[in-house]
Amino acid sequence: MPATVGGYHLFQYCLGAQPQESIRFEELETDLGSGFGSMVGFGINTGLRRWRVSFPILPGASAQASITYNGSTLTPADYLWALFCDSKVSGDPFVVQSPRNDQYYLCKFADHELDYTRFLTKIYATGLEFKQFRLPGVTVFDPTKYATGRIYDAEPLDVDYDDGDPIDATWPDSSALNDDLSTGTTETFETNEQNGLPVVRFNGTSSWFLGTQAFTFHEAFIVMKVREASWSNYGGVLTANANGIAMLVGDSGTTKFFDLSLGSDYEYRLNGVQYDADDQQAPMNEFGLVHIRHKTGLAVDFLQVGKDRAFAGRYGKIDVGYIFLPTTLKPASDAREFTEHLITYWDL
Amino acid sequence: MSARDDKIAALVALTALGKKVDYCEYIAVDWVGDGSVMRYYGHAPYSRVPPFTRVKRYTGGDHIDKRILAQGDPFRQFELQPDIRTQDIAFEFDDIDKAVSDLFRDHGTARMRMYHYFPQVDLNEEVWMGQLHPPQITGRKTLKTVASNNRRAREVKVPAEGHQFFCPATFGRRFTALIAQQTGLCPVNDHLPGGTIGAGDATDCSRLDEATCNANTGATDGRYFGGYNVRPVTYSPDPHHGVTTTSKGNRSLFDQQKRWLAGRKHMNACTLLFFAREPNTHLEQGIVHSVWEIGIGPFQSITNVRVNSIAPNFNQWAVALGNLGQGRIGDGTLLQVNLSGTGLFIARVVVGNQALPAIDAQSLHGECDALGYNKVAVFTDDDPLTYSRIYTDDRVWWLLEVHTNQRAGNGQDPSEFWIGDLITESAHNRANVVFTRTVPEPGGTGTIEVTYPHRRTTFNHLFEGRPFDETVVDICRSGRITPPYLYQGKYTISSFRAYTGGELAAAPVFTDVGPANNIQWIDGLPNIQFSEIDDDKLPNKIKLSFEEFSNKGLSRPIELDDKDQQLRAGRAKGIDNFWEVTAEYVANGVDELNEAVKLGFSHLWFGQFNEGGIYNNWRGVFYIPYVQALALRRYQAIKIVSDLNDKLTPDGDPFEYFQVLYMRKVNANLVELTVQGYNQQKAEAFETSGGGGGGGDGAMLTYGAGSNVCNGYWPRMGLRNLLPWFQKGDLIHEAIWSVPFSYFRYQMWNPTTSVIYYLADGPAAEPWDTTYSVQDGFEPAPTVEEHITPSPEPAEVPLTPPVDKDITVGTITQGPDTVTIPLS
Repeated sequence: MPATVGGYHLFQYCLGAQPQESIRFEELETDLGSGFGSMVGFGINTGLRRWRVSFPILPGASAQASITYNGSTLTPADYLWALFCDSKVSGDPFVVQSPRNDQYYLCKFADHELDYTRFLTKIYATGLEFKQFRLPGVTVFDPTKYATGRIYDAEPLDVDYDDGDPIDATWPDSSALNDDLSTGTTETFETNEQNGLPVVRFNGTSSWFLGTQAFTFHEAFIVMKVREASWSNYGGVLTANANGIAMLVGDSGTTKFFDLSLGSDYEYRLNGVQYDADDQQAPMNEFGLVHIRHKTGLAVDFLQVGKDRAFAGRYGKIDVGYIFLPTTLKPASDAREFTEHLITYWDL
Repeated sequence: MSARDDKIAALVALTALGKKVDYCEYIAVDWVGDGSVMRYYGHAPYSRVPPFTRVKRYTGGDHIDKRILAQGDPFRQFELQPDIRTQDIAFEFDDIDKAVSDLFRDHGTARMRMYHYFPQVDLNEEVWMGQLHPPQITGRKTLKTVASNNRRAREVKVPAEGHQFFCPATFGRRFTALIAQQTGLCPVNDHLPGGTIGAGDATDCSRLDEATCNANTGATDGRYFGGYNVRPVTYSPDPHHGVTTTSKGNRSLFDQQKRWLAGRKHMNACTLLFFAREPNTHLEQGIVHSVWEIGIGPFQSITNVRVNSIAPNFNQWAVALGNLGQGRIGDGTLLQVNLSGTGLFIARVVVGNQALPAIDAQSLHGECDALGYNKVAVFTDDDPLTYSRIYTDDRVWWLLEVHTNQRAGNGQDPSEFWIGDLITESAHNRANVVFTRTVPEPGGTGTIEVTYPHRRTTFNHLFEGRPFDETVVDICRSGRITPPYLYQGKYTISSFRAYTGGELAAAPVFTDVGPANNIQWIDGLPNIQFSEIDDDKLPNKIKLSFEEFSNKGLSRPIELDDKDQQLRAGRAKGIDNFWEVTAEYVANGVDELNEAVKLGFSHLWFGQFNEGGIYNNWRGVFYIPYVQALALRRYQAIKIVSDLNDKLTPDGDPFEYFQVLYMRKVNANLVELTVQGYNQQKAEAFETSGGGGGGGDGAMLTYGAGSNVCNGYWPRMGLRNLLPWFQKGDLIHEAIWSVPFSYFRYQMWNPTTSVIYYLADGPAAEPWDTTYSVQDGFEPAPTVEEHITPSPEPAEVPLTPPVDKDITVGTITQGPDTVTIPLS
């Protein structure tokens, strides 16, 4: 990841141009008088971003730097011409990079009546406005721009395994931290499980992975499914190894995760909806995005996936497609964007 | 509490903590109507965007398409828990790719349901249901249309079945459920569980003629053909019809819909199909021979037929009850077809040769007594759905039948209703009650009480082709029940009655003061207001018309008034005298005086649909959070605590409780509540239980389907001309009686309990006396009056041709043709 979108990346040109960025939420508030709290009744909680950007004056042809795009070397003028034409003809959004967090966003021209002359005038003078655009199933979000953290993604395993193959080597950490997980050999690689994407399957009786490094993480984003209508045991999903703590363990006989009493610093969300610690709804028999946050951080000697520490018979009967463990605590607004990205990418 | 109640309570708790509540609005459009082409539309692609993504579990995994355009507010304004009187909702779709207009082109009007999804508690609440109509405006980029929650255009009537020359039936194999096929005109059902009728494997029928019908039904004589391949005589212009241009005097039966009888009725103006003059060599024996249509069958009974007030002689008349595939009646001289599914009678009456020349279609008048349609679905259980199709005068089940009947009703599926609620309301409305008036003592200064015992509501009504929604509203208004309203995805009804102590104790409290304040404030003041109808505009006299059964069903207006209120009205006008403000109503389906009196006073005291009368003239309007409105059910009791609520009833009591009349969602978070004052004292005294049906009038008992059989104490028993005739072994579901029992006896035996029920004359034995034993003095079986010879079932009594007369020549007027019949 990120998934790419066929089109032009305006950030290729506008790096350093520092577009002005704003964000808009649709919210409706009602004054209910004293004694009763006002409500915000509506919100796609990641909002809708807008940017206004103006570039330095286009230099003369001889001084124009070249831009490489899809194998072609283009002058900035040609690049902008092609961007304008393709955007108008195909309707596809293009990508702009936020100056606030370097993250990528799909966007379109805000002005529907824009012609090329006016486009050029605006981009080099008064400022050209783009607005964020959501394209079903397409996301250009880059997790590495979000935070540093371990990434365990089933998709790269596709190179080494076919559908149903036992995973007999490590589950590599896709980040630069190289904290690969060692395998218990009974996990299998399964293709086309959710939105065409592969997952790692844990059999619920003997499958688990173990990390090699001690670290602290503040968040966990896990795309997973419990392959049961209700937990048949206290199946471990995310814990430390034998002597450590547990972060995510199924609550036997229920459809929830066990309340591990991790304190007020702990938050749990499923598909972006927050649940109390004693009501952590688990993604039973359907894929979902599990997201936990811990303000002061959760320290593990070694990460363990699929098994609850040293307990016997506490294996999770789960499918896991993606795990991301940021080592820093990002603002909740960024976390909601990452949530939207994973939900879009996995079609949860 | 149900899981839904728990979720709503959790939402209310969130708002009480000042936390925000997220929810999204989307619609589901069933383009084909069978669920095969479902599309989900929203203001945003909610299924892809947190926190709403789990809404997919309610869309079958489909995504919500971002199609609905909204200027700022992504939420519609509409009536919550709407009934058929609610307005339309406008929609504008993004249609740049013509995806929506293509679906409209392919499928036309489509059913839609609107939902609100609350992700924090995983609550998917259906809030509106209706039809999405083809676009009023189709533009290059957008498409504007409206959705309405009435299923049927106003121009379509109940009943709607006319007199087509081809069969108007929907071919039986096109139905996918037996419960729907059962009320159709086509009997073919061999593709459904338990079905036995049908031949071949056709999936549709040309409906052209009897041969086609035979090929598909397996019959050989065309008995199931429902078309009117006959030519009726010209017919007196009917004032109810005339929307089309027709030459004066050229109207015929074909101009009208068939009529549909609920309950009992003296049918004063049956519809003439054919007639013939049959002169006789005995001059005084000249006969008028005629065939009359009564309406959509099957009828429970048709008796006491008369033509021009003359009863035909014994064996000179016959009836066809309107069963599917009924036998042909008559000797074939007038009627050569069966007219499946249509109730008929045929009669020969003696008028004398001298009168024959003056006889024409306009001068003939046919009448009969009838117990109406006997295929009304009466449910006894909602899980599993259990019902019997029987004769009934139960207003609740008739209300459902009007919605569901395929031939004469709206053709909806019963599953669209909360059947359990209807079972409850049916039982409530079948109870015997007493309405009591306190009036001045004759010749004294005190008061006396006048009582009107009756069944709470009955339904004896002839449907003659009114718009569907008006029909429904009339049925409900006259039965003191609410029009069906949408509640949690299905339609339900409530009765206008006194609340129980438990209901009042559980009434939600709405207050504009204190820490529990839950009424919206604006500009530093509570947004609540009260109003009342001025005394000089409030009806103080009700003119109520009903068709009185004991007087041959003739219309009888009664006037009910309140002199104290008339004096208040006069003083409001400044004349210090009595001022009448009259409101007129029709008691639809009511045919008995006591029930009509009660109904009239309910309009006077509480207003139609409890919307304001003399004793509850106090209305409140205020605004509450949407999540609190989710917990309300329309027409339930609430309590208002507000300084503004200071009006007293005419009896001097405060209005502590109110009834929720309307809930209108005005924006994302607010619901406008319109409530009417609840006069607890007056409501609780309005009807009292018991009364035993007022001496038998209008009483009805419903026993479980098939639980009682007629054991044949007499070989055949029935009530004069108006009760079903039971024979030994007949299953008896219910019985109705309405006149003193001078001519009949019933003895019914319950084979499970071995209890014998007797129905006999005299108050000692009524309505059903389970301890009654065989007594001396039972009169012998009734002597059947000559003119009420019952017809066998299926009714097929061949007319006896005149054998003792030398008929020379007779003519049958049959449309434009004149046919000579042979000498007998």
